[in-house]
Amino acid sequence: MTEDEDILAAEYALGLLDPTEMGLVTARVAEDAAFRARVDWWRDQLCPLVTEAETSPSADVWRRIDRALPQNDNNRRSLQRWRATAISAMAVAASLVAVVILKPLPVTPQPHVMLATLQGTGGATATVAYEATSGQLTILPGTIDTKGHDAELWIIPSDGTPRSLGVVDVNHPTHPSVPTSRRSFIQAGASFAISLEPKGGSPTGLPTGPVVSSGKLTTT
Amino acid sequence: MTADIKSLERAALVKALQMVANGDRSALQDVYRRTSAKLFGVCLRIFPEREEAEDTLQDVYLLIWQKAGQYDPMRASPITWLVTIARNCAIDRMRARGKRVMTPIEDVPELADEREDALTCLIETENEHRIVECLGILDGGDQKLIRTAFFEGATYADLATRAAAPLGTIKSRIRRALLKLRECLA
Repeated sequence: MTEDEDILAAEYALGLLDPTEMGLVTARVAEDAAFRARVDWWRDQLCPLVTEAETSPSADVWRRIDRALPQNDNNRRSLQRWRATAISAMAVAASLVAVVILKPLPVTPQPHVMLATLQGTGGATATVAYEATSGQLTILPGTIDTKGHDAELWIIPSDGTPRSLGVVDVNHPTHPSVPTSRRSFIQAGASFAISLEPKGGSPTGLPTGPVVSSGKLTTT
Repeated sequence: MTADIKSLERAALVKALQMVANGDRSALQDVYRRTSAKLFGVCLRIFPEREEAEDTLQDVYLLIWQKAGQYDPMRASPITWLVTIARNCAIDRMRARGKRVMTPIEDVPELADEREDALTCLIETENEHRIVECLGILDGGDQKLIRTAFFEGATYADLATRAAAPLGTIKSRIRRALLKLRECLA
């Protein structure tokens, strides 16, 4: 770890970076264990500062939290079961979409198409095109070793928060349609990233596994 | 002695978080009892209005309830993990509202040294001495910049505006200060 990298870890731990840099370093934290350990070290060192600000909240706050929790443990467990079922159902749906919507790929990208070439340290590559009018992605996977995991595609807009675009097929070209709520995030300058996730995709809504490939969107 | 108290407290928190991950509500109450004053302090520095800070604190513990299973005791101390969740939650909330604290840096209050419970804090976290001592070797202005970044989630750009200084100057000042801290803390 060079001095510069260690300072980058400190900047990340403190949240000094702008949203774009934050997004890129978040991807680095996910894939680089040595770097992640330095971020953790800085957080550990800085953490005791909070005692300077210690203040007791009103008694009412715990009551509000308690009321907002699920009624009992059984409910929580059944909620988890429900979630697991929903997630596997989504995975099945995603694979069906991948099978059904295979179309010939456009030979020449249209002017309103944006492109990103995704690259990773292990040579993992993919090309992703986005056609804004129809809201459709074209994903041309290169060589991505998912090590038995699912590959999930993310869009990281200028605010640095990754938004899931779902689990993607890494063996065949696909044309998934982007949910309307996600379309505004896909703009030139935003980045695509692919992370390895448990079967069915990230359970948290944010990348949980290593980022194997990423790249910036440019207009064609 | 202080190390024993600290490691016991740490072990108790790790255990409580593991129980929270299994859906144990009373374990969450235990985590709350042990940590809410610290996490509320974090929220209050970002949202000085008490009501808003308490709403944020409520969200923070609901997040802890959801995410406890992700806590890895091998990576970070439990309090560091909890503080990171609280900071991120409060900062995200502030940004989602398009809010930015813009108090000029010179108006950020100095640390009150003469706090009654300073001794209690030192017993609770022996480490605290270290970071406070190391911040102490920095120039007063640099100390304020680092404290403001830590407590208010201020980015380089925010700090430059608040210090009415060019971004490049602020960046190199903070980087130099971080290098000194790194040397002192190592």
